[in-house]
Amino acid sequence: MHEATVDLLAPDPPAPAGGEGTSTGGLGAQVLHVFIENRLAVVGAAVIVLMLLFCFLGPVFYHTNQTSTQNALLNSTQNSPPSSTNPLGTDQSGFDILGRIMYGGQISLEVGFAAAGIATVVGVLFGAISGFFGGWVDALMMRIVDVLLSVPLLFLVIVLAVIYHPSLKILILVIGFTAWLVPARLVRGETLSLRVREFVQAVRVMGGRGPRIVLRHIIPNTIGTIIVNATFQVADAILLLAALGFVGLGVPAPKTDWGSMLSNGVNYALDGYWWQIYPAGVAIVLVVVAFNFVGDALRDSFEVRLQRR
Amino acid sequence: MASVRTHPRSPLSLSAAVAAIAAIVLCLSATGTGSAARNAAASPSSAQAGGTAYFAEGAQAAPNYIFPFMSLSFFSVTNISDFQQLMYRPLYWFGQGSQPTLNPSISLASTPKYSKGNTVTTFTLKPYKWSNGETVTAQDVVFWMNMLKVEKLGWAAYAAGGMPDDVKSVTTSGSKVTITLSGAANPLWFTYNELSQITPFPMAWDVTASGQKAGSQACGTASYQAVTVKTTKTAVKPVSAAAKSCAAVYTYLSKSSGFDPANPKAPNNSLKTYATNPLWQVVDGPFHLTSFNSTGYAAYKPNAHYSGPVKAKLAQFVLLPYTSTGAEFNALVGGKITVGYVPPEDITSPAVSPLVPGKNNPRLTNFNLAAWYPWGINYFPYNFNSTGDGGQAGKIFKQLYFRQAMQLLVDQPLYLKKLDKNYGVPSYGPVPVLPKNSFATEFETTNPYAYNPTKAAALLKSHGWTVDPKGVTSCATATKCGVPAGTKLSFTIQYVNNGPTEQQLMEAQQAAWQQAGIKITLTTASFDTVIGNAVSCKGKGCTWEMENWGGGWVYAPDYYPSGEEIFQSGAGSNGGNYSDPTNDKLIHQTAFGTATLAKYENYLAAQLPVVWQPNAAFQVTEIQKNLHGVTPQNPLLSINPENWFFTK
Repeated sequence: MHEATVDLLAPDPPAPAGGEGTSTGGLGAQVLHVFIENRLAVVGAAVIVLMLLFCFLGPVFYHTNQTSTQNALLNSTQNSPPSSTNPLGTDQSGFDILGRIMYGGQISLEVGFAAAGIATVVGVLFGAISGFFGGWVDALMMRIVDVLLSVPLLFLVIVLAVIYHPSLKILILVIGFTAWLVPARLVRGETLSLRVREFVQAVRVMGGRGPRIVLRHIIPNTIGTIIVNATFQVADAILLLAALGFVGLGVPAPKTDWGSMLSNGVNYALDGYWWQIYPAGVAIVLVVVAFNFVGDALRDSFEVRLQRR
Repeated sequence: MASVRTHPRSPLSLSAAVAAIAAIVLCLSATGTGSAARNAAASPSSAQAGGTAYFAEGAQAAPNYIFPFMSLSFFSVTNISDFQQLMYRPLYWFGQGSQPTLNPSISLASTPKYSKGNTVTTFTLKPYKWSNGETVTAQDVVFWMNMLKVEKLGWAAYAAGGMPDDVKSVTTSGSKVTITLSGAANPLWFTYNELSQITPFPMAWDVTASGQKAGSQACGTASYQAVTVKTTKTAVKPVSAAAKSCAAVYTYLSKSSGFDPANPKAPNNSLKTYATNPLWQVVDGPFHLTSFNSTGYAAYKPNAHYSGPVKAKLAQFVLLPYTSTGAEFNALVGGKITVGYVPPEDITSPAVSPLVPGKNNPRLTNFNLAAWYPWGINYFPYNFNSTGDGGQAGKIFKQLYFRQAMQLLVDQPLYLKKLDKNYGVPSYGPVPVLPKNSFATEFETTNPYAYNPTKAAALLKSHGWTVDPKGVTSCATATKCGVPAGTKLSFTIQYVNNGPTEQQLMEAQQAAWQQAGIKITLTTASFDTVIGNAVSCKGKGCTWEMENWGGGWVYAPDYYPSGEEIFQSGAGSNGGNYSDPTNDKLIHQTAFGTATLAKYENYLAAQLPVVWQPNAAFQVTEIQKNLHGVTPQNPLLSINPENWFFTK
């Protein structure tokens, strides 16, 4: 019987050209690997998850009246400082601020995610179509983007919010349909380079038509850009909603959002009711910074993936 | 601060009126409030002439009409009391100190005398001058009467049966004016609720184009009898040449003020000309306008020709506009305002009771505080002609049970305590309860519809509605509801969001109404927009449902609260088109007969022609400590800055 033997003293074989052929797993694993190496990103993601749990599950365990100003006036003390009963105090109507942060956070996060979703879908489709077809179609579509980008966003949103009296749906639509310009440009740029690649040519040769190419081949290959931009879109939408709320164009009562809470609190800032400002302000900053950390890390992750390909 | 439309008038029996005046005088003598009660008692020796007083206008309530003859859209305290009356004096001035009574000393005419069974009244003009040197004459009074005769439907204080309907003739002899009535009138009522409407017009206004010679049109110079009109139910058509002239002059003056009678919804493009148009520089009041802009900023300087007993000591008087109570408060703290107000949300020490103020905000150490209560009521109207809510809103509002359910969900004591910090009193009916008086009945003052959500829901259920506190209540049984089955109780209220307190009040009421499934959508607009919308209308375009300008009504200068201006069918200031024959009859009996207010008052307190609201102080005034003469404040909400002076 011949037995295979290993010569332990033999020299190591030469390393393959191009580096070690280590197993790196799929795209998701690569992205995750780089992502979790970024401590700020992990903190950001944790903050987002905690904030989602806090806003959406918190009210299940921490019951407060957040919908009836009448009952708040009737049953609570107004402008009460933090205490064991109201850990973050009460506002001018007697609403418990901790509960209100949860309640307002639901709206802010819902608007943030939904508006970002709309902006991303609209922007990606618009940009991909523009970039893929090129020519006069691209010129026309991009001029539309240029014109809309020249209008100050906050001004545009305020005008729309005034025309279509603010409601949750209206705010989502207004923010969503004014925030799609950036993803449109980004995706259009990527599409311009993708449309001349071999795999696109191959689809054409096999009889693939425009819509199929755009939806099945172009857009999936811009997914990295889309995801990174979407995280920033969420943060921007939350900030925009906060700005609208601050100028009195947030969701109508009895609903609230963090910006509206901040606006109401500012009315009392000089009377020493600090607890009506800081919680909402801190919540906005935390969530927006967290999304930005996550967005930055995702961008790095996708870039690393490209480098290692 | 509440901003309030001005006021109505109405007849009054002699005995009732005397009793009323006596009661108010007695009650008000005890209503000096707060540290500002000392304000008027500064040592004259330390007074100094000159200086500029800055007066804060109500938030989002900037003046927007200068011609002192206006429809309901412009009939506000801001326009009349704060703005116009500084320049154009009414024939009779009301308010003596803190009492809502006739003030003969600064009236333009002698106290009227009545004769021939109270069918004739005469009075004599005092030797006042217009700023252009002309005398304020008896014919200037006739000019106003002529205008009223032709344009009574454009005058917000008009009520059927009152002036000019009850005036048979107006004649002059020198400076004496004689008015003959079509029947006997109660002298006090006629003085307090009829003559009080008159503002003499200068002949410089009897023109239809710039550059015309003063008095060139017939309206100013014609006799009252020469102005003839044909009156139908909905219109007054001028017949004589003089009457046609009055119509033309009215159109010109209205347009010069920014209102086009042929296009009432057109934007006001004349605001920028208020301080420069020569028309408006002819004044008989203590001040004339030197600067004005569309934001509501107005600067005045003393009228050197003012003939009244007290000449202005200030070098300048300025009205400052604010978009929110917060902005006003910041300006107040920053020392940019001489006479302003502390918004309810910034009151740090609640009043002990409406007439016993709390301590001033510690950030306002340089100011004295004085609560300013109007002789008025607070409410907002339903539009009984509304075609909103799928065309059913007006029909729903006509159902008494619905109005009762709405009122049962207005918790006035709670709002007064928690939001207005005790600076206010409830409104449960058409008669004010403060200043204390003998008019307000026990029925009205004890609140016929105390807050009771259970009762409100039960009331709706018993009338065929399926009450859904988490959704919208809908009609299940048309015959019981009075409207088609499926109709929902879903309405919109437009209100003046001039600060957090007003917003909280509306949000609290919205939540309270929701307890019975009455879904209220809140929208906001400026004061001028809201009062411009809350006017009588009918037909398809008449969609507004409820409009809340936040201040209700002040009975000034016609202090007798008989309510014909706001609740009588077809009255000029009955913007919601409330119409009830029984109510009209009771008003008539009260105004023209000898009946007391009680029947009318109790009837309306039960009938709920409007949504009664808590009547907060008009404002909790803050007066810079070195400014004097501001208090006592006139409960009819007029101001007299000619009395104000600084001390060293």
